[in-house]
Amino acid sequence: MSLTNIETFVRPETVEEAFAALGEHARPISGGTDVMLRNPTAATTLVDLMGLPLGEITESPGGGFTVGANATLTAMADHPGLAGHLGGILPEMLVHVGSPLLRNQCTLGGHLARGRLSDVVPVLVALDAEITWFDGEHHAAPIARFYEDGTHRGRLIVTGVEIPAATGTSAGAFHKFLRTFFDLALLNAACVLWASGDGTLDAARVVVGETPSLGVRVTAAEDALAGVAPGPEAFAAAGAIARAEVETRADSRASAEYRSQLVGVAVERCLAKAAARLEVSS
Amino acid sequence: MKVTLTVNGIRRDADAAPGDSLMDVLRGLGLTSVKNGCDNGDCGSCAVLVDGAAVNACLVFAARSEGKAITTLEGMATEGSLHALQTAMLESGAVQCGFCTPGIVMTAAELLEKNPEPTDREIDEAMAGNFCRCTGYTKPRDAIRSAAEMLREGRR
Repeated sequence: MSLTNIETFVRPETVEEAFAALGEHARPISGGTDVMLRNPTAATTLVDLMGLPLGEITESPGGGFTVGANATLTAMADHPGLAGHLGGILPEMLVHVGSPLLRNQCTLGGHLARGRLSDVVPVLVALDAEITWFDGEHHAAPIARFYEDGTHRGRLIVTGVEIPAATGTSAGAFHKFLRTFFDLALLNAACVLWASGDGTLDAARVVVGETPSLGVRVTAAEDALAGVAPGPEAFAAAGAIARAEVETRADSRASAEYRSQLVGVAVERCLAKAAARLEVSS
Repeated sequence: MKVTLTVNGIRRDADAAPGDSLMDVLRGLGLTSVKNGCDNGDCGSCAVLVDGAAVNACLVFAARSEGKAITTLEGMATEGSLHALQTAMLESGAVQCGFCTPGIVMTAAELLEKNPEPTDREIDEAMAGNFCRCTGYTKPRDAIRSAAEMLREGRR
């Protein structure tokens, strides 16, 4: 698809130059797939962010990761450290985002700046990740807040994501309800469990996405899991709490009531997967 | 604007508008193996390699592709002999109407570069973005497995 309204293609080399080039008629592109598909008719200039030095994925000595905004989703799935983080939650999720052809082109920054229809966001929320961006100044914030307070709608350039190191004995999992192999999620869930030494759970992160929220933590379910033995009963109870707590949306693909049922099932299955990984790692 | 692309190892200057897709520019250069199936990033029939990674050329801005090595199906055969994937597609009867075949070959080329001995499941996952409207999925999978074997044995 070629965009006929584009008159200028700008290639800035620094994030400051790139930000200065943005405007009402100037859209940033990284992978460019979403802009190509949405064909913003008001845009006459494209600002190519791929010349910015934001492509690296680095692992800190402590085990955390900095993922530059220009890293492709494929690069994330192929990175040995990231792929193994918390039992493999990232590649488990990424394999269902678009097709391999799209993942070779789509960047993390572009995906997060888009701010809709995401499997990536709930996982990053479960990982306690921070998003970094530039809007004249450099900022960092928990990823959930970036969307909740509408920051993502402002004029800015996402520069990357900080994923903290795993702590204790922990494992994560992702679960997605979809109709075909790389369909958009009807609903998704991500979780992380921490084991204590005595056979119970120390703590949990439970996140549900595509509700209306891109990724909302269900703290009541997290609290219910702390201190209890992992197993079907505990996970069913957490699922029931999540179903009661999480607001769901209706659209042409599923009713709010159907999605509400999915919340409980998704959380339950996601927790079971994470617990199985926890057993293997402990 | 002028866009200078390196396609199949050859420098090509193209007249392109800043919003032109790589697919449209490559087709304008006569590289008609790059098929326009959906123009939407769904079908994979326009797949080409950009620096070794298979992408939907319909969703790539041509201006973004300067300085990168682009490979289309036209660049797969060398010195008059077909690439193993092309040979295997023919021998396995994996070509029906043929429209999706170039994209399948390019996506499979990246797969075999990264994973010389893929399992059937790995082949299916790697090919998930390439649709065949004739619904022929089994024979391309056979062909990719057979091409992998040919490449491992040093046959083309």
